Amino acid sequence: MAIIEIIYGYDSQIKNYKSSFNDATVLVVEEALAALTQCNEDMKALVVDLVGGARTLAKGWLKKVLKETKRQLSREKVKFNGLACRSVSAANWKSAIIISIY
Amino acid sequence: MFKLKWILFYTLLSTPLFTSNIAFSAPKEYPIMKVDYGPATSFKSGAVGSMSIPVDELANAKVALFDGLVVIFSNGSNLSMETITDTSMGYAGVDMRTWPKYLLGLQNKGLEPVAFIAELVKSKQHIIDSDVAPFEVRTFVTKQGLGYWAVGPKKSMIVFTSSDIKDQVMVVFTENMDESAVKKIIINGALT
Repeated sequence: MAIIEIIYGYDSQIKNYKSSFNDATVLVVEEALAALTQCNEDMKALVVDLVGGARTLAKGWLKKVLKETKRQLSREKVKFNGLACRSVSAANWKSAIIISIY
Repeated sequence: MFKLKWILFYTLLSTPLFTSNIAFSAPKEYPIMKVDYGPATSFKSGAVGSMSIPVDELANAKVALFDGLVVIFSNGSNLSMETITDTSMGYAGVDMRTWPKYLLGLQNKGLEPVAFIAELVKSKQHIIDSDVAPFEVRTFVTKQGLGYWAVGPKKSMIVFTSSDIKDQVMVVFTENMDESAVKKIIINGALT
């Protein structure tokens, strides 16, 4: 949930779906985060830190670092140096997230 | 031989034009007529734009609220709709009517903050170009202002802007929806 909030911000509608999120949702969020790392330096720093500096992100990386991501996010909120890329990314992967829970 | 010379002449003549199209593409004006598809259900997410989906298209569709609206149609095609504002982008006061121009590569400089332009150029490169992969960007006139339609092989992005309201745009992403369905489901309701 905290990871989805990185992309969408806090939204009570989104929180209602929490118990429906599954492995397919994680894969969609992974794609969205991978795109975000390309256009947002703060996101890139977080992901590089989590995956140990890997330059390319192999499919399934998010599931592997899910626990650590949660821990990091609970310690400090992710700061974005720009929200423009996040809003485009959020809009682009929205349908895929909903499809993953149907 | 004479014919070959003419082919070479036209090839040379057309090359710079073709190259400049790749570097900085202009949108294609897309005249589109409103069609009566019968009863429709209207959806609105902000002050700019609305979507009137013909009722027959909504049969067995799934509609979900998720940071805006998501509709999954019975044939598997889907759309998401939301309003993006200057504050949600982190650039309060910026003229959001320029948002689609930078994001779709129709403009690369202007009066907007440098960081705003830079972020949208990056978003174009890493999200729009790689995921929507538009082969054409079209513009069309709506009741409220100007619409933009980035048409890709599987996905489309449609942006509605207003002549009077500058702080927001309405954005629709579609997947597995052919061009005639995009016109019928998304664009038609916004036309005069």
